[in-house]
Amino acid sequence: MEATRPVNGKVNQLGLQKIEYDGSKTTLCAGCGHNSISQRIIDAAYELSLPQHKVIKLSGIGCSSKSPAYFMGRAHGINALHGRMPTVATGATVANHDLLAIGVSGDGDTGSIGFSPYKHMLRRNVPMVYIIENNGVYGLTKGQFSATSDEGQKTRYYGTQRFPSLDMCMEAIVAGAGFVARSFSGDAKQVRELLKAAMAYKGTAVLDIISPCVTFNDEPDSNKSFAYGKANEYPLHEIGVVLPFEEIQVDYEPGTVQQVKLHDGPTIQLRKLEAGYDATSKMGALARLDQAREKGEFITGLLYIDESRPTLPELENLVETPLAWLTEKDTRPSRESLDQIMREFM
Amino acid sequence: MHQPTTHYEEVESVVIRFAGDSGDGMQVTGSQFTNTAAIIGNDISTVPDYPAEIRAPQGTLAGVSGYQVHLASRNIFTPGDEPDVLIAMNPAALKVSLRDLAPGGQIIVDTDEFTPANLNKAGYTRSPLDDSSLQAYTVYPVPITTLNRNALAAIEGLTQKEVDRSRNFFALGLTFWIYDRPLDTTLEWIVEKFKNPKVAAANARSLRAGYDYGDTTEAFSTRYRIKPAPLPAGKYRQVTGNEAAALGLVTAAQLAGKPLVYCSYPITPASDILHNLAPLKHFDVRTFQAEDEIAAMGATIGAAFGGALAATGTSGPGVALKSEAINLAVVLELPMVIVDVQRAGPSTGMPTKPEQTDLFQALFGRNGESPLPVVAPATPADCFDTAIEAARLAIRAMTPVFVLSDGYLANSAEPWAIPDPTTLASIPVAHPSERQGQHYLPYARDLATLSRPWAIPGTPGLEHRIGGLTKQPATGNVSTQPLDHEQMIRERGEKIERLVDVIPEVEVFGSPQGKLLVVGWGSTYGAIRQAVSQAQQAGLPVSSIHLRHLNPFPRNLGAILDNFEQILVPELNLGQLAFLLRARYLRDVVSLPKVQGRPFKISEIRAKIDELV
Repeated sequence: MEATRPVNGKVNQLGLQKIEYDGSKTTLCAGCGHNSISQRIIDAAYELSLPQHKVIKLSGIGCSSKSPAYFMGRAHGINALHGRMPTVATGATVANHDLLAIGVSGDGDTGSIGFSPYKHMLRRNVPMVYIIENNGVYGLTKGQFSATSDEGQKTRYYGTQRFPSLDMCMEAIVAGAGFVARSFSGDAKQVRELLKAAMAYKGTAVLDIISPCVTFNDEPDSNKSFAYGKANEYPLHEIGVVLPFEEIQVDYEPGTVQQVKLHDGPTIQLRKLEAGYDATSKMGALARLDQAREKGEFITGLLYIDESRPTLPELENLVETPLAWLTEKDTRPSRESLDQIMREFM
Repeated sequence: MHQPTTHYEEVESVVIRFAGDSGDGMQVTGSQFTNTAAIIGNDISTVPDYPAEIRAPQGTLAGVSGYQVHLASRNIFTPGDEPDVLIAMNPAALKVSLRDLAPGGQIIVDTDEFTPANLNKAGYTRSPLDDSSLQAYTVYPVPITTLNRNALAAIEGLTQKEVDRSRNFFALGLTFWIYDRPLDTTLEWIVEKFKNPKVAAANARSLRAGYDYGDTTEAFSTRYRIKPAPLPAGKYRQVTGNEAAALGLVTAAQLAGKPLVYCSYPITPASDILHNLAPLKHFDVRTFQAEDEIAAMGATIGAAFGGALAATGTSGPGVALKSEAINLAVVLELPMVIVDVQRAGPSTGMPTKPEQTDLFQALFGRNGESPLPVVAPATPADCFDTAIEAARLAIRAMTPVFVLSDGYLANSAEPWAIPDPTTLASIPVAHPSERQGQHYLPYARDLATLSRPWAIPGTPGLEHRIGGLTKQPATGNVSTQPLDHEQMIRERGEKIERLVDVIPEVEVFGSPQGKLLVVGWGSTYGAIRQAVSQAQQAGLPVSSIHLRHLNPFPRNLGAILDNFEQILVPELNLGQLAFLLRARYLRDVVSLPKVQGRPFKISEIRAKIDELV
């Protein structure tokens, strides 16, 4: 019966209201950047009209990895081991490539203990959205440095970080990823549009989202605090995702907008804020990231996009029906082909 | 003139729990109350109970943070089965703590927090203060928030938030009044802790206001006094298990004349050992936060090879990751200490809750024949002695040694008589300095201990190469000879067995023979000791022993078991020590298992004793 739904409730193409994409109530700290990312995932899933039964949420260990409980409560989920979520995603998407895998990890989970699984997921181009909720600190174990905390940063117990940080976006591009973005949890619109683009992308889509830890890394001198992000975010472009049923607006000056059409249908529109930044240039992206690191700039946006590399299921020559749904009848060779094989042996 | 109607009552012990929201400062409140009790000279035992969430949503059941302190004028061994007094700062704290409260217990609540919104968050449909649900207890409704705001009205320039943040000190002041305690220690601490003079003044005033409220109101008819406990003279401090383990490791390194290198990866509930060691560089301590558990173990092995006293700390899931590298340490035969602060498993389990379920993992969780010594501390302060013992065994037998602490010991606190360093026996270390014969033999065994020499790389003439492949005896050269393989396995096993030569015999608490012997290990000590002591006072033929050494067992263990008709083994697992005793001594034992992520209550062990004798 329709009576359970408010008559005037706004619904998406599946006839679902946004509230139906909610998860359970968060138990993260009030003001945690991760909560706003969860909310943006809900926005994006709603706008893309994702059927939740075809979504698997994956995560590792840490504050970030608790957050899949807080969005899309009707999707499937698997909370894996510390740093090993990409391995579980690899198996899940090979067995069932029809699913949309959304992985949520953190800088400790990805940059340290899970660094090797991260790199190998990227080189295999596992079809999934891989979100790094990056706050430069181990929150759940109370404030140790992570591998993405920048040289010179201070924490409560350890004084000053003496080692250079790892840049998860540079690492992703070097490993062969074809969708690499950086954003800021306080930039709701950019995060939402990037998520939509990532969900429509066919291979591994990496979103490194700076997501302030209000409890352990929010000091005035932290470059991963909310105040720092608000004051220093430097978007390379304005991003918008145009869905196939929507009209593409063309009221921009030529050369100021870069458009990338994804194989799934949507088009990514990048209205350039930094003239000359080309999101399809691998070396350009690496050079710009290196420059940003040197200068201490907080650049955000879709840093690199390339949809040409085949995904893992494509490389494995998987048939259209996911392995999980193939029956014995589908997989057993016909009598004719068995006879043919036998003849070849004779 | 106002006649005070309060009277004083002498009590032997009391268990108080401070409970509130994670942001209410309950850990500070509890530890301040404890510090004062320690200075007065009471025996104390405390346990914090805080949520796995760093800061869960305010006012919810998930966000309740508690701190339980047991203080007494006699020796006590546990933080108490049930609180006698509950200070509940909001409805959620009341709801979470009520199930533990002793029948007839006292409850002090901040009535201002019992708003419809907060009641709703705690899952109350109506206020428990307004119905009969609390009639089994004595409830003291105190509008703490309002009283505290009034008390601070005169201090200018404080935000409402800052004012309300000091309401825990109001509650503390009131509790100090009820238990007739001086305010000085906390007042001094406030001045030192809060750099902002306004905030310091506010907290001090809140504390006094709470105290004065007790004095002026007639709500409380009785004040309580608890005399100092007859603890041996000496200088005491409060210590948690993780603090004591950290201090034990540093002390062991000093006793061995070595630097300490501690390599670990953040994991609950072991991270605090790293936090405690990191600031001790001036004691020749190096700490290393690795990128993962395996790297931490690798660095620990490297530090031992390099010649330092090497140690790592982790919890069950971390041990699982480390086990391949621990096995390398076993066959390299290098000394190191592995502290496993056990938590409820399997897998991620309950990270902040204790269990003793890693005994089998420590003993058997590796491929091949891989014996190593296992020791377990009995109390928070005992983590100090156990860490030193582990280092002593490690260096003597040239082997990794497991210390099985747990989340309960790690965070509980008790008074600790700070030992005089000159009374601690040094740990003998012998590094060879020159070669005997033509080639240096890295696996030439000491005839008494069967351990190999610990040559420090860089020593001329002692160049040696070691690895995980099977070795030829003495030379350590790679070998695939069947008998070489078996000889090395047997020698490594025998080397661990020979540690019984230096492991103290276990002492029986109570009569050396009788109907029932309770055998425990690790953090169950307090509950077992208290339960057995009660049973003995009731005239029951019960004794107990507590094992610090789980591999090898003390030499006299078998003989002690033979002197009793029945053996009871309470453990926070499904019977791992019980399994070992049956296998090793062919004695049947009664297992008393518990796997709820909570320590034993004294009453649970007592009930089992009563059932058996």
